[in-house]
Amino acid sequence: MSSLAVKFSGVYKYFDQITAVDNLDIEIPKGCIYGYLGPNGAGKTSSIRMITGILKPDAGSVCVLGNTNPSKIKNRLGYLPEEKGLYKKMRILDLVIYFARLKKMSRQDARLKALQLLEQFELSDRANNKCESLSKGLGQKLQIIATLIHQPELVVLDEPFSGLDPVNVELVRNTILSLKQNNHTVIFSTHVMEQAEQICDSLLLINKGKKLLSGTLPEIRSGMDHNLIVDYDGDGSILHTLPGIERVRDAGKHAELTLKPGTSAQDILKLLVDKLTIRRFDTRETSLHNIFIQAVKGANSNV
Amino acid sequence: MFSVFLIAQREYLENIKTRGFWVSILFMPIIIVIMSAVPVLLSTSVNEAKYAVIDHSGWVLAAVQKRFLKNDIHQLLESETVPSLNGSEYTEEFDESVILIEQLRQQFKEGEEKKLFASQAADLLYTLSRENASILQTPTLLEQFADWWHKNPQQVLSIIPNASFSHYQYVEPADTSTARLQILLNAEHLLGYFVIPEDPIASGEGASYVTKNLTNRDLQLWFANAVSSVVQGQRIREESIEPNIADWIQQPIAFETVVLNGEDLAVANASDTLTQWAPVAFVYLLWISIFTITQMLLTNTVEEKSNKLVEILLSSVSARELMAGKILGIAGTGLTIVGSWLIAFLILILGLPSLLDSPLPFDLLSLVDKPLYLASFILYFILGYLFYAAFLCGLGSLCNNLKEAQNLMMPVQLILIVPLLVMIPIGKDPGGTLATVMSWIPPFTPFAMMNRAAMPPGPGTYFFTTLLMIISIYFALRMATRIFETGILMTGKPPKLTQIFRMLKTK
Repeated sequence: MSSLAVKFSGVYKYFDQITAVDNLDIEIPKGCIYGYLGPNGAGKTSSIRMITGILKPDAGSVCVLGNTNPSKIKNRLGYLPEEKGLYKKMRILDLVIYFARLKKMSRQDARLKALQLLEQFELSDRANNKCESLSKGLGQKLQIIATLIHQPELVVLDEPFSGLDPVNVELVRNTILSLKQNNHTVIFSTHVMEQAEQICDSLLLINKGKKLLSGTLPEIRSGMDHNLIVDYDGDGSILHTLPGIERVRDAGKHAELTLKPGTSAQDILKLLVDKLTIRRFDTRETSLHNIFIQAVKGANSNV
Repeated sequence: MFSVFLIAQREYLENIKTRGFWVSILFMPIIIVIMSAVPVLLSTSVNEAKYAVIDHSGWVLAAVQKRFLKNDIHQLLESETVPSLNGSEYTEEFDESVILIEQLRQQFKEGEEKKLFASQAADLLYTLSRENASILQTPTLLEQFADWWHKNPQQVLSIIPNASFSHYQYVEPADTSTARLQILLNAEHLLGYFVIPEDPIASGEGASYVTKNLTNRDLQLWFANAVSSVVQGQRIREESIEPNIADWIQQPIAFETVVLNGEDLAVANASDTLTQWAPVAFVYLLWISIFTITQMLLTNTVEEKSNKLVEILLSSVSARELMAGKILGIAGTGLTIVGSWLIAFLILILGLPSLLDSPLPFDLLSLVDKPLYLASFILYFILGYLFYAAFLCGLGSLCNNLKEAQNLMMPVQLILIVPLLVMIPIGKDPGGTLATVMSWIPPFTPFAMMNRAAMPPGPGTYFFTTLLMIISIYFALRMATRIFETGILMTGKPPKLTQIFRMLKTK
């Protein structure tokens, strides 16, 4: 039995005259949380739709959970798309049962599991309310319940944290981690790199339908420049004038500086001490955010 | 198949909770009640339209008014209705009126007697109304009658609702100069006024009808007809032709309408005419049903797409299953609406007469004896719905909002107008070339075949046109599925026609 949850081999997908996915090869191991990253229009949604059996490849092969036709195993897959909607006039419990039934669960099992998940996600007191009564964040939780109710072996979550408060982010994060503990595979797509950095075992970065980077985070970071982390008070514009700096990511009181080869952290510290009040000065590996920007910009400039 | 059922079930249960569904359910009963009640109510309401006459001849107006009265009185004697209170309080005089009318009917049974009495009563009544007088002592039956009529116009109307003064009211302004009448016309106190020339016997030249309203010609036709009869009568008298010879010369040949049903001949009555025209009404109903319910499907598809639900659904079911579920769910909704219409129709036509305390203006019950009509309606609703549903579901999948959908709907709406345009011509000639040709063009087949139900074609035509529809629906659904599979996931502006054709070619 294959240890891969998903395998793409030379996959192409065209829309009219646009190549959305261009000779893509992917291998996603079972039982991991796999980050699926890429800029807007990179081909993420198209490739995810091929994983979930919504679209078929125009060329190449897609194998999901050992099956080359994912549309035949939709009951084993769960998908939370980026654009989420609800039947506004339906009752919350009915909606969850409806999606479970579409995944071929019996009415009785669907009801039991729905009540259990609504309890777990602190929505049980609203079970008989209409979906339109929910806020965006609560609607998001409801959609996650509808995605997971049939306990899919492979779950694709596209921006699952959007619209959630910190407490609910924690709740959903724990849910994702528990899926992994139960040997379910999670494909996690997001534009928030910090989230991917914290939660993913492996990552894939695609751009213009092609693979740019893939592997575990340490594998991706190897050979990358080290960065400086500076927490400061004062006028941060000075950071952009420093010599020997490749790139500055300044958040006002917190900045991440990428050094040019040959520049030492000591030199930079000396320059900064007189001009800013330094509260923290630290070196660390390049953030995923920077890797993302470097890789995408590099790929675009090579075109 | 189970998923299709689940989707259809959800669509059905959600749709029957909407306000639109209940409005549609109530549509038919409301239409039947309006159709039945309005003519009854109108017949009891007094028409306010007034007219004046400038009579240069000096005698035509008086003769016309006497003629109107004579006809009304004759009609009253012929009628079997008794005076009704019509909301006024009961008095002993009312009983006397009933007795008086009954006495007159007993006394004047023969046609000539009636005519003579009507003529005498009209003369007396004309005098009473001209002089605004009343008869203090009423020794003769004629005087009693004239006095009663003069004092109780509402009771007269309750016996003969279409009496001449129920339609239009003659007014006689103090000043009948043209300028004065024109002021009254402009102030809308008059619907119009007539000018009768000095010598209408010699020529009708100079006769005119002055009005601001050219759409309502009823008053003109009614009054001009009466003037013509009066003048013709006078011409006959002046030529010394015996009145009975004149009547004989003027007597028209009335053709009795006899309808052939199989080998049986029967004199046609109002209900036969209604039965012949009923398919036209059914076509209209079919059109409304198909148009309303396919619109419901289109709106539903576009809303589902704009609600961002499609992708979640497609991760559980195929686009084909989703589309099939939608079409079936809304078909169920449509059938419920149409079924409720038919039930309401039956209940109301049986119950309305007692509710309104008056027979229905149309003998709708005769339609129940025509199972072909109802069966055709159900069959062609299903076929027509599936055919148009395929197109609208496909088109709806390409649109992000209802405005875009309305634009793409335009060609379908243009096609759908055709059955309405040919509805009356086919109704008049159900076996004609137009009806035959339209029966074999799939977008029009359901409507044309329903239209022809009064003179149904042979079973072969029914069989092969139904087969043609089934084949057309199959291909329409196949095309729609191809468009739906791609369109439902598309974002941005709707595709052009060339792109839609490319979608159809996609395997």
